[in-house]
Amino acid sequence: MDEITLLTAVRPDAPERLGEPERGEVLGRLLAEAAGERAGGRRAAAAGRLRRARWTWRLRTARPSPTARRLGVAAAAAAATLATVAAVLFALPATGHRTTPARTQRTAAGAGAGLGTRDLTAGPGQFIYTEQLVEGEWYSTGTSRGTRMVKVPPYLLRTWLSADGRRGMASTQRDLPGGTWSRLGGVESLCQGAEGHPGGQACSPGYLTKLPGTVSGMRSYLLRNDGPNGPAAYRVLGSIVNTSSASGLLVPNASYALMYRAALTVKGVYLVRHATTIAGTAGIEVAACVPAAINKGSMPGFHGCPERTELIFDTRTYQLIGVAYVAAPGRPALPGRPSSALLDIAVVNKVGQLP
Amino acid sequence: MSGASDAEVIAGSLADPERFAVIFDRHADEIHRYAARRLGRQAAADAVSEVFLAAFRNRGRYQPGRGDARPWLYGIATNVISQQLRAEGRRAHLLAAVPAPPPAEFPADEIGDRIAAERLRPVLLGVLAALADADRELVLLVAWAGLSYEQVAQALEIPVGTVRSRLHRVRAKVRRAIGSAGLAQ
Repeated sequence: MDEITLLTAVRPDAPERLGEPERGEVLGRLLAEAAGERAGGRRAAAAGRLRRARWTWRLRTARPSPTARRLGVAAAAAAATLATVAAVLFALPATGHRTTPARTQRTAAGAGAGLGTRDLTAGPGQFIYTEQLVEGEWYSTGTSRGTRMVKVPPYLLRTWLSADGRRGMASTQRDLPGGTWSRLGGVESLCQGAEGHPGGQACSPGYLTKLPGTVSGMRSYLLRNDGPNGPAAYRVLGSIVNTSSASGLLVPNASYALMYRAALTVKGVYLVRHATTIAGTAGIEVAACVPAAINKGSMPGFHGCPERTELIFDTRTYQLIGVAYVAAPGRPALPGRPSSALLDIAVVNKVGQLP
Repeated sequence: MSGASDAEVIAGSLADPERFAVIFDRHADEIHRYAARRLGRQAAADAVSEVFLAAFRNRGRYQPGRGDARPWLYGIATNVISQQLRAEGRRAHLLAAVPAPPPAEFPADEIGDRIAAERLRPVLLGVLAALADADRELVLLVAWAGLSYEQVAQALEIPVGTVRSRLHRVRAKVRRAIGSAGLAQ
């Protein structure tokens, strides 16, 4: 027998395929690196010119400033405000706000149109406009037999958030199918610093420009930000929801890429390569089980995982385009966790203005 | 993109980084198998991650004339594995600890070779452990990864003639070791 054949014969046994969990983790790191490159505008062509260059990820985003944390808390406050306003129906005052005559920007035309084709920027006095499809929302109602949960039909939600936080917000919704737009309300006149209301409620900026500029910095920020309680995987995803378009905020694409990369560094967060939002827009997803059943071995096959949180990012820009709470087969959806899909995001000059 | 060559995919990934995932999909299992044989299953996934991240970062230097990326990936894998083994100082230990798979797991026509090799196993592993690092990496790319001489030459960036001469040297060492142990076939 040939000597090389003998050496081949003592070759150790090895699994035929890379296991699915490991494959997901490795691919997640690779795609996160690709996201970082795209967000940072770096190209391998440039690397090719740099012989033996050692790569470091230096995204365009500024490094975390001392105000980053304060802004993060404010962003969460904006999300809470949004939820509150959505729950209380009252007439929206006629528009007529002080606006800055800046250029209106838009980044998408609707579901499936390719969200996040470019980075938006917003100036002082402008508003972040978002339109989202929301479904799976529940509310409780009192009856003679006690409290019961009622499922809300799917609806479209439009919000306008003041870019600098000085002019508050407003929102409007339309039930599907066939509903009419009803104004849900606004808190623009209540915000601190708003004209005539210097001592009102603190409102946060709708345009977040000072988020951390590194993966580790973003990870720390998301874990300590005002996300939900629970294991790190759940907290980091909840924190992204509170710091993103899902809460009506405008976030630079580079920051989204860092959020995506940071999430994948957290144990219990899994990559799903091909995902779609509830509006049918394709993207790439990170997911985690709900706190009660977080179990690495259970993902992504759902075994032992009653419900998981899914965040869907645009595959090119890493803008967050959808949030979904998915129950395991045969299990009822948990109330109070509506899924949403971003249909449009734009920068406009006044509340009520459409892009 | 499924019909594109590796070189075309890598060239496309310069403008569209996520496209590099196609290279991962095509070759991750094979690189993982080799890493698992060299490092054990526990460390193999990490090694695969390092290999593909390094490949992604250096894809700008991939030579477009090479249609098949496997030799290039094996070259990176060789470096990653060597670094890990050096860092952990466990080369000899690992080679000696490689478990013998049961012969029944192999096709019938390989069982004879397996049985003969199992008899020679300590000697063969001893030869591998005693080889110079460069010779060991080379012979394992042939014997354990199944690369051709040309592919090994590409992976290690050495002439094909050097591959042949080094393999000739290794064969001679194996023959001598078997003869010295009185196990000649």
